Amino acid sequence: MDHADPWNSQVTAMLRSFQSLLGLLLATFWFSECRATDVRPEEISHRIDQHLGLDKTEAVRYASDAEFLRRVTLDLTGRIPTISEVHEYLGEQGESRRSTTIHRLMQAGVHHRNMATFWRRSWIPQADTPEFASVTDNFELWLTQRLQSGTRYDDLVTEVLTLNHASGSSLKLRPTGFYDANLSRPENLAASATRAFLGINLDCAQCHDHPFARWTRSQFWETAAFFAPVMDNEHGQAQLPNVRVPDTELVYAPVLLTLAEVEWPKPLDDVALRQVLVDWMKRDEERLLAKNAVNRLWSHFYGEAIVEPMDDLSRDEFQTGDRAELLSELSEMFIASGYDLQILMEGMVGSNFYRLASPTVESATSLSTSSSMDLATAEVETVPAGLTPLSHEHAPVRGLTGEQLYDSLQTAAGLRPERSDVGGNAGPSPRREFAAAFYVERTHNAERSITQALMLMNGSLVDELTQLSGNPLLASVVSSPFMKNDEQIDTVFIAVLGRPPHEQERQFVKQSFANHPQATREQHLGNLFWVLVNSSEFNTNH
Amino acid sequence: MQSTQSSRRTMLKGIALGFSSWTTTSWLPALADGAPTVGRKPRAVILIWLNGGPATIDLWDLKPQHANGGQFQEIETSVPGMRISEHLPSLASLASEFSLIRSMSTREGDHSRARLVSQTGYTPQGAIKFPAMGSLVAHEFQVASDIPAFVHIGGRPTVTGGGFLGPEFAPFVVGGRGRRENAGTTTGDLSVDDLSSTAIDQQEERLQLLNGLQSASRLAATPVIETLQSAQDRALRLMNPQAAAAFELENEKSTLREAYGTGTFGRGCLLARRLIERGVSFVEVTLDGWDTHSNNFERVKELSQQLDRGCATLLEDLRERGLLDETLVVCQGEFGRTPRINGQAGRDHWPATWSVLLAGAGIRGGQVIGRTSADGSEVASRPVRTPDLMATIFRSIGLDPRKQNMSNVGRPIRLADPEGIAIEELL
Repeated sequence: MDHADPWNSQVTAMLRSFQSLLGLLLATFWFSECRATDVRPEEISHRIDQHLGLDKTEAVRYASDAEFLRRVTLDLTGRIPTISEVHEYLGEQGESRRSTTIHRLMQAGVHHRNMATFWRRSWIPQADTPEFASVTDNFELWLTQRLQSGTRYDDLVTEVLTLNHASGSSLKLRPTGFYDANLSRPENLAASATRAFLGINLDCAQCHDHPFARWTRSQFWETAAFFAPVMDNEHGQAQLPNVRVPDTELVYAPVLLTLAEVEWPKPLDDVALRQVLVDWMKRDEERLLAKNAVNRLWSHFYGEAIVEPMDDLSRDEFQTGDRAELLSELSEMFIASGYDLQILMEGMVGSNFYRLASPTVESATSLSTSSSMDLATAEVETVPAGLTPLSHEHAPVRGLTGEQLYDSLQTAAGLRPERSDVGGNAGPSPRREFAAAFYVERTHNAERSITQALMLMNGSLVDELTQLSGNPLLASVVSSPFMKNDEQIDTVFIAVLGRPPHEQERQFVKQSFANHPQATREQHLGNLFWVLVNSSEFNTNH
Repeated sequence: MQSTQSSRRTMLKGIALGFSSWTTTSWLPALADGAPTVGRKPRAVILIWLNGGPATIDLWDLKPQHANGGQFQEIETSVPGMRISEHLPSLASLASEFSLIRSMSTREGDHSRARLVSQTGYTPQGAIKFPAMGSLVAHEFQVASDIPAFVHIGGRPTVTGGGFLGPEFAPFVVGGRGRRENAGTTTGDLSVDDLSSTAIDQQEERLQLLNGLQSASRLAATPVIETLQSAQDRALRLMNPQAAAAFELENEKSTLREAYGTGTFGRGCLLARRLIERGVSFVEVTLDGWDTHSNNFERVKELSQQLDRGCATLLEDLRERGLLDETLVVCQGEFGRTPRINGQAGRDHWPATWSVLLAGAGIRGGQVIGRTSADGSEVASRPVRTPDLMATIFRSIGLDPRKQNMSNVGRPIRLADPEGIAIEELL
């Protein structure tokens, strides 16, 4: 800038302020434009498929109708499809059957409860332990309600982070669980908030600086200070709080991770202070708020997330390359849609990628030759995990969460899944206990324990479901006067696996029944039910 | 992949056939007869895990001359010059059987991270799924048994799966549902739930059907499917009545049960011995409640009494049965506690100085390794880090710490971090 010419610099300053005014106007215009949902789900689907080269996939690689229905019903509503849902879907031929079904499932009340569990588990995974059971229930109830009323994702985060503990009736549902599960300690809240909402792992920086990590120990404690209580100074004025690192003399005041300048709100209070943090999250150019949501939701529908580990989005090596590009693009679309979760979800499950078939014995043998080659080369040059291209040969086979398994057992038996979303405050429910016993961290690499296998084979819940008294489905099959043997067997298959048996399977079941003449019809069908719920097929999303 | 599936099918078939005589004597496909074996070769480990980070300054390395020492007195042990807490009298009389490392010095002060590092021997790195020590030992010894080779008693395992070794080497958890009471005495049930079918008469048809339908299954053997099938196979093996009998403590003399202690920990130690006798490679017994941020002395005194009783009886019992020479006993937690006593008569997390007890297998007893400063806050001689302890543990049971296993990221990983150096004086 030319300091020698005062007039010129004045003009420049005027132009500058005009520019910024124009910019502001444009931004307002752009923002209001984008608030409306001008991103359609189909565009998201298309973008995903384009990226993976699946936009012109041959139908041969798609899942069968039965497989697709089971997968999408589990992902959207947390349970397997009912017999009538299977019959209805398999009876339809039209190209629109998938989107109609997706819409129907996304309208269901259980869909919101299912997603509430997903987001709660993503945000406060530590609340999955028994001591936090009531915290979990309340938080999920609040989330179910907010999701049901179509709340924007960024507003959900804002509501959690700017919760005013001082006000609000105790009867109203509020996201206090986030604070309870973090023991209301600033350091826990900071680590949780950055991990849950930004996909940043600050935990390690709590104790010391790591040589290669992007975040320092002081940055950790400066973030923690946003969650410390605002106190008055000796003149009665509210002051920025300080946090002290335990066992040290180190004291930190709130500073944003990007070191961005902050104009501190007046009057200052706890909520206003946390509002500063949320506003920055929404504004920050790295778009971590949106990226983290997209990445986690992706893992819900596809298993492996776009960027793994999901808690380390800010790592340098994840900023470029194929995966980073896909994540950025989807995040921009998510922001443009007005952080609309329904549009994002519909886009994901509507993609060709989501429709791919799971690997079968036949398709896997052709693949295993090539993958063993990969393994040989992998020993020579190790590609860092998470930097390999996204796999798009097959849909990955995923295990079921404890909640999915419980609700699916109930559905298979023709029982209504227990409704924990209404009322119900009577101690640990059978659903919660069962879900806790079958807890899995991530479904795409779920591991089953011996204890769980024993429970599913010999436990009281499954035992009840193998008897007519505890299984309305079996009761109706046995008592139905016009049902032939084959139809009875088919019905149990459809109820449990969402598909009729193959001919070989049907013959095998009949042979087995014939081999055990001492058992009653009721026992035979109970045994078939037992076998099917203990099969790998029932216990995965396939 | 192909061979795993076909062998599984053969096994299920065998089980289905065997069920016709399920209630009588022969259980056809049993891998081992489930009866105690004496004088066998493979070694084993019992890890007594003091969960929460024990105040080892109040157990193994007291400082009665210093303000940090607190209120406990030292007592003489059967080894001249080796003194431990007054609340561990039975162990004191067995001091020639064990050695103490008083100079453990580690970095992690957070429970979950410290547990992970102590149990795997490695600092978490990216996507590598490090298995727990128990999985590594079970994997090395490959004992064919119907009882899982790695059993965890009375708590929650730090690593729930088998890490990169796969679900076959995951810990089998017994009694994890017990609730801790205020004083730290757990009274959970140690029986294994759902170990036998509620419909024994239908079992044969069910297993035959399961076998038939699995063989007709078109699902490829992906990792998730394999873990489901592996768990089911191992559960069916454990249902073999002879294997299941290992968990029945009532078969032990009441005097012995009394000697071990009737709390979860005491009974866990007794169960550990029964399992080791039956060929189990690694048993972890948890004694929880050591996170004594307040009221340290009252709580540590109570916990010490449980520990003294259970651990001392275990050492004697193993010795009498000739098992101590093959069984390594390790007693440790995730870190120590601050030498300085805080305002609530408690001690906080302190990884810089703490102690470990080692006994049995190849360990030469009656020794003290390393020394801490007069106030207990610094290691004064021979600092020992986690990799050194790991290398010592593996060496003592005849394993080469440098042995490699292929990890889930396609990179070979050694049993112990190669920077670890075994403590030769102990071996």
